[in-house]
Amino acid sequence: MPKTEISRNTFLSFRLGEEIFAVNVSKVLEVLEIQKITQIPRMPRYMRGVISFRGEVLPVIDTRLKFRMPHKEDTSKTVIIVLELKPQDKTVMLGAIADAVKDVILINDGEIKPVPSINSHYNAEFLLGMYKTDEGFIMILDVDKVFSIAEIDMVNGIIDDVELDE
Amino acid sequence: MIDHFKEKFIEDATDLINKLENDLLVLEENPDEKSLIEQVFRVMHTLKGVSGMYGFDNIGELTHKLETLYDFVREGTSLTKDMLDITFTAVDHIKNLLESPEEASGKLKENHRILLQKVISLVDKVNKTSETNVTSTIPEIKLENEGVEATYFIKFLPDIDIFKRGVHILSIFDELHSLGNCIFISYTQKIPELKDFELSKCYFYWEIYLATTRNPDDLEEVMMFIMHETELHKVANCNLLHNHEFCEQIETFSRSEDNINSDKIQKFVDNLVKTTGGDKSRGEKVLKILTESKISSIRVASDKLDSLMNLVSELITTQAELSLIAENNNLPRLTAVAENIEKISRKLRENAFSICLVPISEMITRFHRLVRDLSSELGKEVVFLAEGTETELDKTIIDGIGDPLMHILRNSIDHGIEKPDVRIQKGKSPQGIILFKAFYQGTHVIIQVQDDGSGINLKKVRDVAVKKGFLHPEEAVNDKRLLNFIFFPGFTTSENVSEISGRGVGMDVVKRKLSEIRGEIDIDTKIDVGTTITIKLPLTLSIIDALLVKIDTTRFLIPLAVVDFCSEVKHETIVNSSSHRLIINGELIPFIYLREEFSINANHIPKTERVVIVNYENQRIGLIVDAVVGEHQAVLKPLGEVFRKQEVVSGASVLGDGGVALVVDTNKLISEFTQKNIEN
Repeated sequence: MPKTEISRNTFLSFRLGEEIFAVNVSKVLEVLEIQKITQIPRMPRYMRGVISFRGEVLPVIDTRLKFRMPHKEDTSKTVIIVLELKPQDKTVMLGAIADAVKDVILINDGEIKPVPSINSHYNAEFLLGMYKTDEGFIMILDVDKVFSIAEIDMVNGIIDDVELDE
Repeated sequence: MIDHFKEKFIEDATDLINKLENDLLVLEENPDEKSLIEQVFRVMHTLKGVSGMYGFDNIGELTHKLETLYDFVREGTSLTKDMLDITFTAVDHIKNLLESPEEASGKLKENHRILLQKVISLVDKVNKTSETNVTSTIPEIKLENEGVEATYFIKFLPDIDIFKRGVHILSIFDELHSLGNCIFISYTQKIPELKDFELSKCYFYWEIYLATTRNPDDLEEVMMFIMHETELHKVANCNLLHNHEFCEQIETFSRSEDNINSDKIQKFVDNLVKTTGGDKSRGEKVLKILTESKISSIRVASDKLDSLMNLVSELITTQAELSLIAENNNLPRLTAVAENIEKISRKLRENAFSICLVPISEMITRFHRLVRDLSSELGKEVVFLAEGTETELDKTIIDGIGDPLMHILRNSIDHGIEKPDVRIQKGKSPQGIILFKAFYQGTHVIIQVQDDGSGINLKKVRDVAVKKGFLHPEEAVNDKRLLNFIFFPGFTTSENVSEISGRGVGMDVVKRKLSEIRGEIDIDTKIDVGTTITIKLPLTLSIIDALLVKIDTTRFLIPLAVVDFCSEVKHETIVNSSSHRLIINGELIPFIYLREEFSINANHIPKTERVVIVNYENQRIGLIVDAVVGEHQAVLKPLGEVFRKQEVVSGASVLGDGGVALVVDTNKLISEFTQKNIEN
C-alpha cells in the first residue's frame, strides 16, 4: 500500500468518558502529556488556555466540555492531542484534551459506516462515520468541522447550557 | 535565468517609476526647477534603454517619445499642464505594463495605442512651436560630492571620578565606532596597586584614532560630556587607518614609554605623505573613487527579512532558556556565556528591528497622487501637506496602514473639503488644506489626517444611527459615542452614493484593518472648522521589552515602555480602599486589582501585594499583582484565532522554562476600566 493510503486509513483512537472517538492520524501532530495550561482571563471554562508548543503558542480546548460532558479533573492519563486543522486555506494548530489515548487503528474504507441519526448523542455533522469493533462503536470525528472557528464561537455563547444539540 | 533578470528589471523599473512620480509631483509645483526636468529626462532615457533589452518594447516606445518631449523642455520650452497630465498617465500606464508584462494585450494594448498617439501629437505640437534644434545628447551625470574623509587623533584623559558623573564611557566609544573606522588604544599605567584600587574610580586613559566623513562638530557632539578631558586633533585629510605604515607606527607609539602628543603624530603623517609623494596622492584618489562606489545600501527581498525576524525571535526564546539553566546551575563560566549571549541577542534584535523599519515617506507619493487626481476630478482645490514623514514604522505596519489611510484621505476630500465657491461663501480660502502628520509618542506612532473642511454633522450622525437602529431615538449620548457610530458597518451620512465613497463600507473596514495591526482610531470634528482623524500604532508587532509579573500561578507581561515604577502595598489596604485609590509617594493613584479583574481564584493571596505603576495618557494607574519577577524580552506570539474575541490580552510569549506568559494590553485594560468608572 502506498504511504498516503496508509495515513488516509489510519486513525488514532482516544477515550472521552465512556465513549471512544478517533481522528485521522494525518490531522495529529503530536500527543502531549497533560501539563500546566495558562488560563486566559475572561474566557469560558471550555477554552482551557494556552501552552507552548514548538516555540508557538497553542490554544487548548477541553473536549469534554465541548461535547457537553460533565467536567472531570485531569489525571495522569489525560493527554493533549495536538491537531493541525485546515479551515479554508490556512493552517491552524489546536490542542484537544482527551481522557486517554487508546490505539492506532487501520480501517478500510468500506468499514466506516454512516451514523444512524436516531440515538445519536452528537451532531451527526461532526462525524465522518462509525466503526464497529468488539468493544463497541468508535466515532470518527471530522475535526475540521468540530473545531472550526464558527463552531467554537457558537459554543462560547451557550457553553453553560447543559442541553444537547438535539 | 532570463526570468531572473526580467524580475530584477521590473523591480528596478518600478523603483524608477515611483521616484519619477514623486519628482513629477514636486515639478508640478516648481515647473522651472531645472534639476527636476533633468531628472525626469534621465529616468525616461534609462527606461528607454533598458526596457528594450528585456522585451518591454512598448515601454521603450513610450519612454522614447516622452524623452523627446522633455528634451524640448530642457531646451527651454515651458512645461505645460498638458505635458504633466500626459506624463502622469504614462506613469500609471507603465506601472500597469510592469505589473502584467505577459498580458500586454486587449485593453492595455488599446490604452497604449491611444496614449502613444497623444504623446506623439503633443511632441509634434511642441516641435512646431519650438525654435531650438533637437539634440539628444545624454547629460553627463555628476557624482555628488560626499563629505571628505579625515583622520582624527583623540586623546581622552578621563577625570578619575568620571563614573561618579554618570558618564557611560563605553556607549560613547560605541558611538564613535559608528562614525567611522576606529582604533582604540587603552593605557593602564595609572592603575594603582590593588590595595589602593577603588572600584568607583577610573584609572584608564585612551588614545583613539578615528577616520570618518563626519565633520568635527559631530564628533564633539558625541563627546559632549567628556570634552574638557579630551584633546581632538585632525591629523590628515584622508583615511590613514587604511595605511599599513601608519597603523604600524601607532602600535610603536603605544608601546613606547613616553607620552604621545599630537605634534608627533602630525610630524609622522607629514613625513608619510612626503615620502610616498605624488604616487600617494594619486593612489588616494583611486582609493577615494573606489570607496565612493562602495555599496552603501542593498536591496533585500522582504520575505528574507521576515525569516530573519523569525530567527531572531527563536534565538531570544532559546537564550531565555539558556539564561534560566545558567541561573539554576550556578556555574560561573556558563553564567558568563549566558550573559554574553543575552547581550548579543539584544543587540542583534535591535539591529534586525532597525532593518525592518521603513519611513512613512515611502507611502506619501501614493497619497499625494490621490489628493491631486481626486480633487481635480471633484472640482475641488486641495493642498496636501505632509509633516514628520521621516517617522519610521515596522514594514508590516506600513503595509497594513496603506489602504486605511487612502480611505480616510478619500473621505476627507470627498466629504470634508467643500467646493471652492462654498468655501468662499463660508469665508474660507477657496483652497482646502489636508495636513498629514506623523510623530512618535512613547511606544506609539501617531498619524493624523487633518482637513479644514465642513466637519461631521453630529445631528445627521444621530439621525442615521437612529434610522439604522443602532440607537434608541430617546437615548442621550455624548459626542464621542455618537462619532463612534461612524465605525459601525453600513453607516453613511452621505445622501448620494458617489464613485469615491459614501457606500458605508468604509470606516468599519478601516477600523478592523487597523485593529489587525493593533492600531486605534479616533475622530475629532468641528462644524465648518474641519475633521481630524488620529491613528495610534504600536512601534512593533514582534518583540517588546516587558516586565514579568505573577498572579497566582499565571504569569503576565506588562510592556516596559508604559511602566513608571513598582511599589508594594498591604493586602488589607486594597480591600479597605473604598475609593479604589492608593496613596503612593504622596500621590493619589487609582488602581486595578488584576486578580479580581481577571477572575483568578483567590486561594493564596499574599499579605503584601505589588503595585506596578503604569502611565496611561499622562495619568498614573496602579496594577496590583502578586509578585514582580523581572525584565523579559518578550517575543510576541498571537493567541490564535479561537481567542480573537479576547481584548485585554494582546498576545503571549514563551518563557525560558517552556511556560507561557500573557501580554497585558494595558491601554485596552485601562481605557475599559475608566469607561466603566465614568458610567458608574
